[in-house]
Amino acid sequence: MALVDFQLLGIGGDGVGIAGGTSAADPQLQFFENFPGHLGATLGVRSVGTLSVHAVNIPLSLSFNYPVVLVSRPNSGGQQTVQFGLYSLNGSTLSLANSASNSISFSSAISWISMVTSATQNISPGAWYFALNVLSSQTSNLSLLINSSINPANAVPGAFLMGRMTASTNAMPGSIATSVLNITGSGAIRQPYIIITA
Amino acid sequence: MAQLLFEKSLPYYGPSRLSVNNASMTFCAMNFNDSISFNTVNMVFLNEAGGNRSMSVSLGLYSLSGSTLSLANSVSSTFSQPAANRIYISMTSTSATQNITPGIWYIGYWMSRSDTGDYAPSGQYINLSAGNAFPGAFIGGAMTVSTNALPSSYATSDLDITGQDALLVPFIIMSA
Repeated sequence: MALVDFQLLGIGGDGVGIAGGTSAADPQLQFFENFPGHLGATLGVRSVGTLSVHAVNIPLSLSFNYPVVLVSRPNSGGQQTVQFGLYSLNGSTLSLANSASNSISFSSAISWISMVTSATQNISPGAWYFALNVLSSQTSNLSLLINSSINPANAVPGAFLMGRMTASTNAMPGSIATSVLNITGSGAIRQPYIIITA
Repeated sequence: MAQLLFEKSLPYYGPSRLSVNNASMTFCAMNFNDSISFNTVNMVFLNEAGGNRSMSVSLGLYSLSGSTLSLANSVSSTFSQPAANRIYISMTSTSATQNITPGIWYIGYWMSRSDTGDYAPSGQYINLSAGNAFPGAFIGGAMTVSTNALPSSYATSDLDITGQDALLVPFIIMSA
């Protein structure tokens, strides 16, 4: 077969492939991780009510059933809530497509938390945006497995990739203008490990 | 559908030596974005022992249907390594030719060594010692019994999915 195209799958898609093979029906992913192989840098404290959002490339279709995060709970009192939002981007507006949340009142130091979706959905392949927010009945916050704690001095250049809200929120907004998100510094690039399982 | 030249279990390999159970199996997932020929499997091993070490390694390529993992292909090798060194090992003797289709496959890795655990593959390095079992669908787990061969099928319900050793992901490179 002649070489008709060359495809670089980039960050999050680790392979390098040669296009031009035969087509087949799109398979269904059993799960998707934003950091492949559960990679993460550390457990980082999450500020209450500070929503962060980051882009992911989902390579194949995926059922939106169970978003899962890894958390460290500071103490056994009170209750924390983890909220997840699935957003699409059109121009400079993020629109909420689906969401999930769960409240935590366990005493284990480090635990997996599975969130409950508001509606079933088959996520189509392509770019999506994962948003996460944490609420707490106490001043002590949850720590989440995160990607990085480095602190770049300038804003993330190019098209919107990731950022965080500067105003506190207690719910996933129906839409977010990317222009109101802070895209500078460690708070903007510090994203939690999220896995969605079918 | 494109044909991959390689695929990796992790974007890069972590510096740590994984605490792999000896003479037992651990299953981890690999997401193949496109098809790839199952020809060569490479891993990185770290020897933190005071002398030479040897290891027998078998990797099984498993598909998951419902809650049953089924062996589709395998590769194995025996090798030795000097102390305090990282080396790539390469396994090419697959049990059958196969074009791996896109999607998630499960790698069951079995390792047998004579030492006490100071010789193992590099891989995912963050401590994920969660106190509870992983919720949601199956993403990996460890056998709780010893075995001396790759099982042709295995129920995910029989795998341990709690704690660090259950969800280890070694750095695996598959190349066509």
